[in-house]
Amino acid sequence: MGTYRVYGLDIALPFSTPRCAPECENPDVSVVYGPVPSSLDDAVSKAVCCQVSATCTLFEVEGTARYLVDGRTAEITIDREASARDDDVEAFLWGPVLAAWMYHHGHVVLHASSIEVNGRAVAFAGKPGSGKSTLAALFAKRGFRVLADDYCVVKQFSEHQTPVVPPAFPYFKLWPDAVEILGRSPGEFAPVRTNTGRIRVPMNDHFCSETLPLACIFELENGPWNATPLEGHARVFAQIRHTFHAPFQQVALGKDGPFAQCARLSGHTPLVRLTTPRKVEMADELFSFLDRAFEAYT
Amino acid sequence: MIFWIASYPKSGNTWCRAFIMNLLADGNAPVDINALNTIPSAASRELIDAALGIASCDLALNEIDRLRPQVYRHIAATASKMTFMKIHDALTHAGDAPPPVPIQATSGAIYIVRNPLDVAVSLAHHEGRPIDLIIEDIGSDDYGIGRDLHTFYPLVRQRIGSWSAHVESWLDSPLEKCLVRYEDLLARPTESFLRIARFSGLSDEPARVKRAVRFSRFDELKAQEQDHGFAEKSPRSNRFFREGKAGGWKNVLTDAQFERIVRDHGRVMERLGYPITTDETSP
Repeated sequence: MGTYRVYGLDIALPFSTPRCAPECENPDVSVVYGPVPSSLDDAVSKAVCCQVSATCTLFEVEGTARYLVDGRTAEITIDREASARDDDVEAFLWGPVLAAWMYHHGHVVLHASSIEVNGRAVAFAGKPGSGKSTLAALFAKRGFRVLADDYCVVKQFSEHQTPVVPPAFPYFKLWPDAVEILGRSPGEFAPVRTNTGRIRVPMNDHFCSETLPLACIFELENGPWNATPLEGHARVFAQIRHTFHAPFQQVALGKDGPFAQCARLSGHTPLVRLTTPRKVEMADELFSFLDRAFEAYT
Repeated sequence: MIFWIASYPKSGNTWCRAFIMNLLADGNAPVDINALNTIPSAASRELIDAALGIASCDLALNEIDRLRPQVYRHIAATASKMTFMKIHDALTHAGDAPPPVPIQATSGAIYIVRNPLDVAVSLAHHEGRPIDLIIEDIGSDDYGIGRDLHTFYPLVRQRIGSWSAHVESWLDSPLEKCLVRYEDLLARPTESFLRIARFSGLSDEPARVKRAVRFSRFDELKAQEQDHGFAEKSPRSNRFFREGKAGGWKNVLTDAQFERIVRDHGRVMERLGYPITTDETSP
């Protein structure tokens, strides 16, 4: 039906979606409809909605679909339920399912947003609710370009190559109160999924569509103003903590697995723990603080 | 398997967690109150997301309701040691979702109950709302926490319901349980906490229990909050640990408010030995 470009990949889709380009001859990934088993025989890590083997990840979202990501192929298979809504099927495909595909193909996937600072990518990693998306959106409001919200992919790299961040999706996923902080009305935008709260807010001209070298990762935490660069094991563990694959340790610990990738990434990329009081009225102070941090670490 | 520390909000759950943490730590100084989340909330998004393998932010409230029993079965099946978990949900069906706590994942439940007259006052302070609205809430089967989809909340929706329905949902459940009154924790702390320790299979060595009781005394928890804050404090209140007394309602509630609470909850109050007339002296 069309091709969607994200993370530097051309993804062939079996359905049409906004910003879809015409079909291309050699997509990097093909999403197809087809049967997906209810479990993986060789799963080494199982969660309630997700099973992971050395080569595959299976997601099951009741009422929506099962998704199979096979790292040995360039395919993602969707077995959708008859009653599933299109936006529900897409919401999971563009989130954890595609993140799993990137993971199985050797890339580091961070729970982070990313913005462009002086021609390089800066990532803001943190727990859910730590303000990653809101911070990126506030930077966009100040004229910065944004590469990623939610999942930030760091592309496969070697010891001698600089890690790079490809552009993700051209929209933020924000809670209504964050939309209001931006001076907009939540009612102007569509929800990511019905009844889930978050809203899809287009980045428009603030979307950065180029792949950029990764300068620094900032880990966001709540607390008194402080910026602490992490070194050695602390840096590696902090990176691992914010990766998509952190829960799947049994498969991630392999010699060339994502944890090894994180160790390599930490050799290239500084990681700074930023603790800030999270209060909207302190936004100006926050930007001054971050400007100084950018000068020091980018 | 999971031991639940269950209660209606503002009924002594945090106090009980502080005791268990201090008993487990058996240290020479009190455990930091900001480390109490080592006994996590059953509604924690972080905990639920890790068990699901997908983000709860991507799920609708009723989808999360349906998945929660599977989450706790998964945690019970994969935990390497006994797990304590705080919970405020009532054990009732939520639409087409089963009660959140599956018996197969449960070792037992410590159920802490507090006089609803004091719960109303404490909850009003915690939520920064008028007592009359709180009295409405604790008398309503629809009362819940985390239903607001306007902002990120680190906990998923919890269906609390009325005080009476909450109490009976736990007390009449088939779970193995240890019922503890907040008022008895205050009046006879060592004896009451010793009962909790024994029920949970923890050490009942007298010196260790006494030390854990001392390290989790209300004035110790309050002093720690004054010194370095408490992450679980509501943004709508000045402090989490306020008075820690029984019978404080007598100085706060009007006759009409007292009568409304007794009208809503008198039968269950009597079941638990709480007086339902103002001339009775005990709290």
